[in-house]
Amino acid sequence: MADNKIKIRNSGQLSKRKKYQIVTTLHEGAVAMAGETVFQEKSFNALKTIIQEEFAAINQWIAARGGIVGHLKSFLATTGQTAMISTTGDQVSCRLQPAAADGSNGVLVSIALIVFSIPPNDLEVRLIDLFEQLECAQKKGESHDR
Amino acid sequence: MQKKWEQEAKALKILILGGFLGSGKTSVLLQLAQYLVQQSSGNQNSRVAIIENEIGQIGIDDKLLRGNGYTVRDIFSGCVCCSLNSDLLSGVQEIKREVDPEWLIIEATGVAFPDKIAESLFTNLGIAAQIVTLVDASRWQRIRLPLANLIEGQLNDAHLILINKTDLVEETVLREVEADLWELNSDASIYLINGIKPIDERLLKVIQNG
Repeated sequence: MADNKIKIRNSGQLSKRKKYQIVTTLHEGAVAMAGETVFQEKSFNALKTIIQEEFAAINQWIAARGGIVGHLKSFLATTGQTAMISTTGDQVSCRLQPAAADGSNGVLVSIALIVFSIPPNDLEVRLIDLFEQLECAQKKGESHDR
Repeated sequence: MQKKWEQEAKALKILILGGFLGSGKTSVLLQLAQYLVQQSSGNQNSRVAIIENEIGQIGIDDKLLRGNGYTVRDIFSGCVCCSLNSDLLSGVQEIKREVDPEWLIIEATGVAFPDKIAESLFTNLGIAAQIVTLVDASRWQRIRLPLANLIEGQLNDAHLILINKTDLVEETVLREVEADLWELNSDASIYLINGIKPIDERLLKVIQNG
């Protein structure tokens, strides 16, 4: 599983942001961008909902700029269950699957975006924003528990 | 040494699954792998190994495949059809040596050219791989022209073309997609599939038999 801290690497936003690891690859006109981190286990459903909503918003944002969605995918894994959230520009689908309990204490969140005709830095800002929303939701969950 | 490897590798059947992002490669892979395992004499998942190539550094599909119990080797952060070609060749040799499966399925990235992968496998390892390319009928018209170089290149040398998501388009659109594909690769056999029903066993047999 990934570290609890999110770090920056190979990022166009490196000087502005200090917490996120977002890696970009360019190939055949595609911008492939991915990030991964671990959140608290109790936030699984909240994280899933935020990602679904934000994928729908990113779809609209890309279409409005004349871009093409290759795919937007996210995999969430916690002890006992996984969720695969994906879209190719229209509907956002979510598939839940039971998984073996591995005793880990957290939700691994992996997000991978592949798009065409969108500047990498603009896409990176959207992905950073998504991670910040996820982090914010987790912090809210923690403060409720206190 | 190379000759010895080539002789041993002849027993290894390699299938390359190509096609644009979101065309359904991973779903087809899961059904095909399950079928091949059922058909094998040992009836064990080790009879089928998978190489999962994902363009981004963080893999998503490999996590799903591992959850289904298969031997999966990842190649991330680039494409095995070009920048990571040496990783692919060493990956194939490693799988042959350590797992020795009957089948190796290579799921290419959605931006890969499967014919380049097949050419490299043949040139460097002496293995003739079969190419199955998936096409998303529901997105064909949207991406056909803006991404023409990529879309057309993915159909080169494909033995089989599976038109997927046929349930999401009108019959007239489907006929146009078929006509386009026929024009781009008249040597390939074309079959229709969709996400509602499992792939027909007769088609899985066609893929198995090449």
